[in-house]
Amino acid sequence: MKSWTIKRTVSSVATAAVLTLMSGGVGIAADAPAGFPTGNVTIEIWWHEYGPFTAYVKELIEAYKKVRPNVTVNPVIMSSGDIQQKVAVGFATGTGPHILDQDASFYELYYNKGLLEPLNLNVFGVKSYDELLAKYTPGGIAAGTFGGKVYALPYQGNSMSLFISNKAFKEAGLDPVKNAPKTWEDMKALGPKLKKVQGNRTVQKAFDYPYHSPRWEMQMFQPLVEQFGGKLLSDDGKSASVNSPEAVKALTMWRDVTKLTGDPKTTKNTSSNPNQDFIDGLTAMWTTGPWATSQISQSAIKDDFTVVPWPQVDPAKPHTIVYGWAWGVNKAKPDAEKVAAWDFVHFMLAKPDEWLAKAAFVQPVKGVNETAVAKKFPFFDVHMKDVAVASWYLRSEYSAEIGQSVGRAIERVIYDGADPKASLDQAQGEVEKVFKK
Amino acid sequence: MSASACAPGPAVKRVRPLSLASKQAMFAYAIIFPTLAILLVFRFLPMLQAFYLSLTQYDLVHPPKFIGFANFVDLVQDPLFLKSARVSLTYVLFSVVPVLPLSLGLAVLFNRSLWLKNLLRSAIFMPVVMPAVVMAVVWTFMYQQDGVINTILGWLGIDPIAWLRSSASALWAVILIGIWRATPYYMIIFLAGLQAIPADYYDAAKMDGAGRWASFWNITLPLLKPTTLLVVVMNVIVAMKVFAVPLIMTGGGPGDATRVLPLFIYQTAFEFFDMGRAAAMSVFLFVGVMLFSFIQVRLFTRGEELR
Amino acid sequence: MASIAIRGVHKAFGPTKVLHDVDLDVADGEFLVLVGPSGCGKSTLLRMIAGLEEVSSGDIIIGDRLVNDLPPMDRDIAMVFQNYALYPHMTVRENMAFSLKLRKEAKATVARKVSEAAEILDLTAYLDRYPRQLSGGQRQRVAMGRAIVRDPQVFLFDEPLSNLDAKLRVQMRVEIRSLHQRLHATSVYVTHDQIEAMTMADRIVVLNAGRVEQIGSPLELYDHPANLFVAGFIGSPAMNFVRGQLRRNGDAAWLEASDGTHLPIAGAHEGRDGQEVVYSFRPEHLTLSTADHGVPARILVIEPTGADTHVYCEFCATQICAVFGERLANKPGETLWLQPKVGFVHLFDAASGKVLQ
Repeated sequence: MKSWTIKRTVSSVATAAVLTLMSGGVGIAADAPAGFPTGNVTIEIWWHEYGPFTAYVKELIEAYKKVRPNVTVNPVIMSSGDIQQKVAVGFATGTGPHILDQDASFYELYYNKGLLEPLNLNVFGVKSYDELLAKYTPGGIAAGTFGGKVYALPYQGNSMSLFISNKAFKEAGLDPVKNAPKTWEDMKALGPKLKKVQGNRTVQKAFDYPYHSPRWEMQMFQPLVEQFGGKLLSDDGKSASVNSPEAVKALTMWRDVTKLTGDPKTTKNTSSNPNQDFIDGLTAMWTTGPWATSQISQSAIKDDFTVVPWPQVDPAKPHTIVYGWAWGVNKAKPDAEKVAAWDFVHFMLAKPDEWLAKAAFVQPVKGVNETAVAKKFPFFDVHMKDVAVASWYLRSEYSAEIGQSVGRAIERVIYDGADPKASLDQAQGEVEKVFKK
Repeated sequence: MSASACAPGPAVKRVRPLSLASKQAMFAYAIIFPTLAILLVFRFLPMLQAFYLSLTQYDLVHPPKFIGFANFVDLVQDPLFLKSARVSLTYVLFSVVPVLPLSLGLAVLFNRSLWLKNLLRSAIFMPVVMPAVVMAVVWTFMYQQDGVINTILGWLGIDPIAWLRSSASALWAVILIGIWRATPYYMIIFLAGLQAIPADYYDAAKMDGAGRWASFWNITLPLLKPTTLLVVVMNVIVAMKVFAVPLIMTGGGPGDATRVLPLFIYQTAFEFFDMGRAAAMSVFLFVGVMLFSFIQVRLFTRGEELR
Repeated sequence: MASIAIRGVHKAFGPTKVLHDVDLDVADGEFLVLVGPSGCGKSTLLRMIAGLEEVSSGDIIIGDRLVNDLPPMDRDIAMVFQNYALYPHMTVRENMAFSLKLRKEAKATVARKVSEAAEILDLTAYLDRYPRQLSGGQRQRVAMGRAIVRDPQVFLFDEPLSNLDAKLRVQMRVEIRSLHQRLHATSVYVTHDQIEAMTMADRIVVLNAGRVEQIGSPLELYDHPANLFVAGFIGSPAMNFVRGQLRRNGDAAWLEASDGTHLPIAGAHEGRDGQEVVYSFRPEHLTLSTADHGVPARILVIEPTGADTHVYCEFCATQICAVFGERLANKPGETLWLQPKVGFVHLFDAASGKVLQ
């Protein structure tokens, strides 16, 4: 077992930074790029509050002042629940920021509405978008790429992997590595061994899918559909099929796995504390991303956990999900300010190992795994393995609506015992109506 | 004719002075003007704007496109909207009706001299001053599998209930919070209403031979009619607008069991970016509230004028 | 009808004592008025008779029942409140019928009693109005009607006229009085207005600071006040007081006022030579005299009321009031020569305030 904490990692950041640059990371040019404002300008950046993340971006703003003294970066921080609404209103009223922080799945919507400024190649010191794409892991910035151009750059691309409580496994006489489930059938088999019920109370679940938000439900449902060989969105993104035979199979399996392993009515997870059950020892296994590592390490679990690749229907054809948050630039701002905005984004993202060290966010940049920080990061290789077979979270103008409809369909099946096919048919009806608009 | 009008002398220009009443009226208008102006700018104009938007297709980015009543026609056929409206109505009905006897009962209790009255009153008033967000989080903990409520039920030999995790109970769990939050607030209003009833009436009723119950029934209740009307209307409006608690506690789920109308409006506007449709939903909500308030006022004032 | 007996009644609100050892009897059918300045405890005493306040100690007996622990409804009494306390949400009819309905009397009986009372009080036309649609006098009558319909043993009135204007008050005084003559109900009437007390009462109880100062018929109180308080409280304009020392020489007695003036006293009065006393006489008990016999009085104000003339003047270094049946042509600043009528002079001990017989 690796012994690791975030604090210890910070000291190695300097070394790591050097390493990044050597490995061809995305570094900032010393000279200002063409079109950069010559006079004093102020650019505004909005982001969603998350302690370590906010602290790090503030640090970056301070550092940027030294590199580009004529640019003042004005930060506005809001909760993740509000930011989407505020950005939308900002766009509508012309009071939006220069740089926005959004869940990557929203950029499709903004792109379709013509609100985004394409990435400034000059600022990034590349000749083409392909050159930039090459610096990222395959599909790493797919969520922000539209019509061959890049419009948004992720600062975190989260894979979802299976976190295992070593304690729970050992109590059941299991080995967290050897006995880790590779398939959902394995998972079903583990259910009775790990699920503990006292009277009418479930005191420990073996595994549970998430139910605290439609968003998380979709994060599990989408890869399951793909594992069965299905797809939620058509290739042109103009239609969705949430009731395909594969989707029905996925939901049926979801239900069957849940019956054996979980108890959806017993959970402490909430949108703001999505990993609570795992942290409290209420579930032996849980799906979450690398960013949860610090939270888990600081809990009673400490480092007594194992991360393994997410279970599959067929391990030979693995499918997982990646989602994340990305920076974009508001098209409506003056040209010079947009150059400065991209320049600051460039500056911010230049040190992926620092992001990992300070916020535990994984940038989907090639070579991150080679950095010293990554090498000390628990199970980094596992996260990378899962992200390598991941598709981005549903990218559609209507991802929120689809997420809501599917989320409700899942809850109808799980909580009210509805038939998976019938429930997804209903969701499909709702989704089709949305697309007709 | 006023005295000055009788004054002789052609050189004297007769200025017709404003009557005292119109002077007073002008003063009154001057006093309320700022409030009216603020209301106009920040309440009525946005309201009119919302009415207009309800007739458009508007994604917050492109200019609104006029589409007539299409949003409304669509909504009345939309099972999701109808479900949400039903959830809201259930919420309103069951979070308003029990509050009346509860808050009135507490008010009557606190209107008497009571042991530790002030301490108890502060304690009972707590929910009102507690921010909705804090409250929602606290209750979420209390409703959990091993939370306070299930623990107490356990002592009584009742199996734990998955309060927020079952579409059968989630709405009731949210309603319970509504009642818990509203009761002390309206208790204070009832208390004010009770204290406004002159003690003479009760003395007179005692002399007339009324016991406690008779005097409550014949004096207190009828004289609290205006207060009760206020409480019902305010409570209905507040209940129709409930938002933060279901948003935080259930996000509208499980399924759409707790997706009250305001939550659906919010999702439609800011998650689905369909401002026109959201505005149309708001118009339905608005009309509902108005209709309800109107019926209430009519019911309460029927037969006799209020004091 | 019933008599009321109050025996050694005390009342305290916490540490504040408001009634001290009150004893009084109200005869069957009597109209008794409790009068005194505000805060004297008269309303509290009334409310104790009504049962709206508890008795701290002592007994209250109505008829032959000790009622200390009986709730108001079991005392068979009715009360008219200062603010009438008409139920605003009930019509006149409903207000009047309320007690009967609570008693579950038959509908026909209720209707009959209400219409009888309405007739007596001339309220028949207003039976379906709400109190707010009535004038002050009408409301007052409804308040009485509410009491009458119950046909109680005792009527209690708590300053019922104080909210009415002066003219209406006089009219209602007469009405209440004539109603009493008609019903012969035992009545206890509280007022701070001594004229009301004088004009309405069979007997008056003067209360001051929680104690009974004197009980008697109006004229007894007027003619023979037992102490300075009663002397000053009863009568309008009030009795005049001149302070000084009682002087005796053989059978002769006179007052030596503080300014040295001598005023005549009938020799039969108690009191020793040199005793500090208050020499009192009513304004109408002065005669106009001459410089030889009278005492000089410098006129301050003259108030002709039409019927008679009130003269406020300085007399023995004290401001007094004199009332004359005749009209005077004098002006302020002039001097009149006045002489108290010796037979109507009261002497009070200055220290105790008690009358010297």
